Amino acid sequence: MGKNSDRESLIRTIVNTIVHEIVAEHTNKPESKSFLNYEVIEYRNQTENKAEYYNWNKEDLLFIETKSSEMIEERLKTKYSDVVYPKEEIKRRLKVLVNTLGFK
Amino acid sequence: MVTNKIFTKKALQLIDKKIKNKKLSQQDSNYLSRFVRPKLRSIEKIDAEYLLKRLDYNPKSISIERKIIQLVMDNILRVSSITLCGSAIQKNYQDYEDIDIIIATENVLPKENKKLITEKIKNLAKKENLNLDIQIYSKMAILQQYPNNPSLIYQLKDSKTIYGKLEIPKKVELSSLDLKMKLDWSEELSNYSQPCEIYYAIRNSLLVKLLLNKMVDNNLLLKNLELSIGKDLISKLKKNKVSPAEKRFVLCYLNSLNRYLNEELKNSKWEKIVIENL
Repeated sequence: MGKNSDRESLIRTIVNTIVHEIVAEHTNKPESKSFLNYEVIEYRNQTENKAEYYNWNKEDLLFIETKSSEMIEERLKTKYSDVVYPKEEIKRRLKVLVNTLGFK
Repeated sequence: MVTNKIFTKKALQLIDKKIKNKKLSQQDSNYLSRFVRPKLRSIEKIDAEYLLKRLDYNPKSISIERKIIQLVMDNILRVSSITLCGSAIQKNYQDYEDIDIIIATENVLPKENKKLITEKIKNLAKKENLNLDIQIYSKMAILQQYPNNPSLIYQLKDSKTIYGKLEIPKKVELSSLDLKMKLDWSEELSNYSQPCEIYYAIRNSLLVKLLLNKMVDNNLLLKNLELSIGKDLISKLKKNKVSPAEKRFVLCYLNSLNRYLNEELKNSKWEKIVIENL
């Protein structure tokens, strides 16, 4: 498997990390928060491990950010429509995550 | 004639008579209905092969477990418990790839420490011919997330605590949100995904399906996997050796399974799924 495969895999874990972060913060089910926060840590670790594997170029980074953002929005709309969150949160969280991963 | 220790001589004679299409009296027919058929139906539900494996005495287990305890205790301070789970323990150390270990610590370990310790123990274990898959959590973290964490519920079912105590609740209440989140792990796989990733995604979706039916049964999970995609394909997926056509087939199966589960979760009328006797 090559870089494309790892890039797709990385996008999957980024999407799950951000979606779970947003749901954990805005859900009306407090009993699930603890589990969700541990899931976020788990996904974040997976994301970090996958990100370390390559030197991502500018094109890759743009692709990763754009595709992740679209997929996060779509997932939240279709699967977690009851969760209310400020729209700009996706971009903000995505930026923080990408920065901490050392992409930029 | 069939011989075994389950049926009486009379029952065996009647079974033989019926199989050979001989004429049965009304009394014989009644006997078959009341005493033979119910017994056979009960037997059908038992997975004898699985039970035999679990009940078998395996002298290797003592030495393996002793080595694991030693390795963990030599490298981690304030260990609360060491629990073995996964296929090694479910198959009584016969026919397994690695040994899954959940280590509960009294304190929260920093992430970097965890990584270093895990690698160190894994390398030391390799010298003892043990392939370990280690997860380290604080005891508090395990107990806090257990009631809502489907993976952990499954992992700790059929587990064996070889050091200390890990007292988990016997009853859990899962919300649809917990299961939706779990199912996220199986979403968005594509042709670019590695075959082993697709395998774990299917396994994960089937686990959610079983939980929707209030079932926590690792053996049933494996049987469902085998029934869905077959033993041969499972083995190929795990080794990342599938043909493009096989990959398309499993992706198609995964996507349709996820669509079904998402619909089930979306339209669920229940507030929580209660699972008891864990």
